[in-house]
Amino acid sequence: MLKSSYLLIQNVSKIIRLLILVVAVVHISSFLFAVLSTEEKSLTHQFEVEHGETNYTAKVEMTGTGADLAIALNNDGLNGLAILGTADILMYGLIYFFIFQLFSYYQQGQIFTLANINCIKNIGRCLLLWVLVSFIYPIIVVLVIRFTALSDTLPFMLSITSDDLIHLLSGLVIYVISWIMTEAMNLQHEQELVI
Amino acid sequence: MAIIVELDVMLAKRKMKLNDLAAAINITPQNLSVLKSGRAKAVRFSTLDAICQCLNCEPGDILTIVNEPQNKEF
Repeated sequence: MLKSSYLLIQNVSKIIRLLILVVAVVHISSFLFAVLSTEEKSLTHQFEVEHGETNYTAKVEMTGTGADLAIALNNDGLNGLAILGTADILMYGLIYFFIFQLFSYYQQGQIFTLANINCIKNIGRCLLLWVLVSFIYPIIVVLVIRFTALSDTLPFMLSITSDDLIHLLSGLVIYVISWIMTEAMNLQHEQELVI
Repeated sequence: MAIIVELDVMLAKRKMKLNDLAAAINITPQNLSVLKSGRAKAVRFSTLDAICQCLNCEPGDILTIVNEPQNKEF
């Protein structure tokens, strides 16, 4: 690969890493802020910072089946956003971590390495796992709450939302890209043996 | 059938060291060592040309075909 391409990749990776860090911190801290704020138990929490003419907004929101179940949990005096949002924020955290790690390798100049490919594979796995979790987690939550007798009125909800389909599609695409990257790594190894 | 690299033979004939050849044709001694030891998957025409020019030989002096006994299983 050309040296200028390497330099460009390294510089862009540096910026992307910084952006990922900022987005992850804002996302996770706004979630924690929303969960820990005991003033009201709503499904949406908006977090605004005003600085001169600039306005920063971070929003945590439950949608789809999550929203229905969260309403039911809130009606039973439980914190719906904390219970249901934890699974989402864990998956987001994992994905942010793997993307951050991937771009760290790119910044170090490692483009076609096994470590990189494992990072891409893990991002794909996380997205696929997310679909499974978002399908199973509400059922587990309702089962646990019913067994612990915290509530007897919670309904069992099963559904697949458009978000789940997007995660499934993205996960599969990223997984296939990891296979292509494995082929690229093999080609590079072979290229190293061309004198 | 296998192609073997006889670079070491030509280097011995010309009384030349691997490092000197590497410096003369402007490639790394490590890469030339890969070629000499037969681990290389392919040789570029430009590399072969440079080696032949430097050692004053033909490509056939460096690359030779060796017939290997075939194990036929029925």
